Amino acid sequence: MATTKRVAVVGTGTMGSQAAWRLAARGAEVVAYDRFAPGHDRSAAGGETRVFRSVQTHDGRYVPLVRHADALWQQLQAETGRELRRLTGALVMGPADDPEMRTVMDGIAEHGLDHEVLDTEAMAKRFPQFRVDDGDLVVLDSHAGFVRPELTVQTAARRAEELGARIRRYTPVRDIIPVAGGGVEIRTDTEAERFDAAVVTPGPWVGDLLPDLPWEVSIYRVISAWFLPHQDHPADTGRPAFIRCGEFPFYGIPSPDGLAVKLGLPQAYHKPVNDPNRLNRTVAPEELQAFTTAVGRYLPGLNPDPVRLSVFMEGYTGSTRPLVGPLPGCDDIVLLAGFSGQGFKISPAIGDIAADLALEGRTSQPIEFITTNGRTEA
Amino acid sequence: MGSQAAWRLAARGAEVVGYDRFAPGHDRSAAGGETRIFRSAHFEDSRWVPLLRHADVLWEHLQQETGRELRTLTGCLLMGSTEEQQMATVLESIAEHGLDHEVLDAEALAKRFPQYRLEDGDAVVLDRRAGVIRPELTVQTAARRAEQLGATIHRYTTVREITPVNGGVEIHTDSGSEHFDAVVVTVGPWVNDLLPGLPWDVQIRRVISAWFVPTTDAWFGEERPAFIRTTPTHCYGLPSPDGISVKLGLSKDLHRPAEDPNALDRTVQPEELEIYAELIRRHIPDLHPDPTRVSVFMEGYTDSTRPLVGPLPGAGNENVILLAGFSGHGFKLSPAFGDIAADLALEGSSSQPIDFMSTVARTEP
Repeated sequence: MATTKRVAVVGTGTMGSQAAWRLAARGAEVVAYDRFAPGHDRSAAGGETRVFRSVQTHDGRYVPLVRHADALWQQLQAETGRELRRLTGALVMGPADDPEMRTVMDGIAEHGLDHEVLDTEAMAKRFPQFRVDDGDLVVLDSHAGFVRPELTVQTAARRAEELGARIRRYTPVRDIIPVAGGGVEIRTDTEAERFDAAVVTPGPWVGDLLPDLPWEVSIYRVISAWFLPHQDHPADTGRPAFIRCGEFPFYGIPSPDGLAVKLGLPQAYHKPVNDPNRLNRTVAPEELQAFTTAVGRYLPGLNPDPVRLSVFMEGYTGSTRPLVGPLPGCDDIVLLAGFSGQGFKISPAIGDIAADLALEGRTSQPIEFITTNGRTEA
Repeated sequence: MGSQAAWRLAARGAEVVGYDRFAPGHDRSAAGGETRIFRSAHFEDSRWVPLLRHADVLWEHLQQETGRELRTLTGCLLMGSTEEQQMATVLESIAEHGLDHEVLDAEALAKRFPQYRLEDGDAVVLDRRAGVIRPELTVQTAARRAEQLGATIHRYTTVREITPVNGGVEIHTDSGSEHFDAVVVTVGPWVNDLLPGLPWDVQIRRVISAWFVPTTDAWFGEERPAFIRTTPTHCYGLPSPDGISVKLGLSKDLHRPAEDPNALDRTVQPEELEIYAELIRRHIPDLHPDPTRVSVFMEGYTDSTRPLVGPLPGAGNENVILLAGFSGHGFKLSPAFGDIAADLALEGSSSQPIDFMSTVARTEP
């Protein structure tokens, strides 16, 4: 049943663009605000590619949310005719006894995920670009690949606009005020507007906008580095995304240019960001050491000198579990924050859940492990 | 320039040592952002055309030697008012050198390249010996080819000083100094740091590239040319190898100076993007005007916009060959300049027509 509610969306990045689409699709009157414009590369979503995978290394409870996201990605592609995702498969590699690899195998068993286990010989034949360590387990996640983040954000935002949403570009929200008796007031530099509810997805600006949040969201500076192969990639071998667990954790994604590979590192390698408005976008040579080591040890076909370095921001909670749900004491303000590097692949699902919470006050999706309701963890 | 010079020098048998404060292919200076335009026609001066031809041959040569696809010849649309000098020079250079081209009228453009809108009085020329180069891949491929031919490259090794000595040159780094017969100096935006006494001003500018995604995939069409528009705002665009985006750039006058190449401001302010939105609205209306990537690079400009190519002035400096101040015109010519640098470093002269940019007896700024 279509709603008649007016809902504000604060921030139209990875989560906000999806929330705007899902809210507008259900008939809500949506006004979305962004300090820049949808698809910008100044925060978390940028750098051409994100890994989409069905198999989870971090926490098996993400699997149902990834499934829901998967269905919505297909729906958004079908509604707009854009190719947002390419399912090239993804390799998950690491020592068989590594806890993350165990999470992978447990998730596969529990949810019956489509996969292959590859031995050394099969790897050498099908994916000769990768070197593996003795004793490594290698799993090919078949329903996996890469997503185009900027195109996804712009396409979701544009679809929301087609469905009636208004997007206020280059309009930072300065304050979000709960109204006595229900509803929310959104204040910008030039005006204040009343809504029935607000979905707040400010990314790295969460601390500026909500200084009294009872959970800490630490903002980190995330480096992406692109490398070119010494030879063009043979046409007859695959170019899967990949993630390596264990002693030298990193991940990589084939660039859609058919040539480059983007590499990224986990949270332990990211430096904190003191002020999201003053992000240091220059990468010092010594920050490349972990990338160079990863290339030398596991990807010998790549030239270890990077051809592009870009810097993004991600928010991490103390528990690395996202904050999804109402602000404490304020049911009409739905917060989506602190996705801790796990957000992009579930973003359409989180947008849909935000629409559930803003319009109905509850969701049937399994978000107990990430909810703000009665939350005891950091 | 340096990667090409290293390749050309090593190819002629010279014992080459290359130095870089970072490593070949880095995106911290001018070469980066995935794409550069290659074209045969020229706007400023038809004297560039023979050098473009020489570069063209060497590009083919480097591709053949290495098996890498460095360039895709998809053509380049040149658009602008014929009242202004630049389009007139294009047509002159085409006539003078017999360049492969097509002239399109408004109707032909609308049919074949409907993604572009014209102003009244615009001429449109399709330069057919033109297209898109991959700058990072070209630099890395030339540097790697130089290494295969015996060159040594010292990565993350900043040259602090270049001292001419009797019959040669000494190169000083933080870890020592080494003697050479000659040096080719291609330090890009660090030229004023390394050569503070240079008698010509090379101004370093901060160049913004911005990427945009069309509202439909069909936007690109079959031919995927690059484009340059000369009026009313000089701008250019290239389809990205990602298959979905278009990179737009502006010309010299719209770049801010970069005060210190070691402290480049890589954050682009929203007001710096307004001009792109206006260009899109006016000339490329089916691009979504919100950028999906903004990146910042550096380029060096001389006052005359003519590069500085040749020995440093002054007695005893004849073994120090400078390549600097390419003023936004360097990349498409870089293999030719590398070859010319090899001529000058090994033989003291070049048969290529570089009089109009030479440092020898130079009178212009």
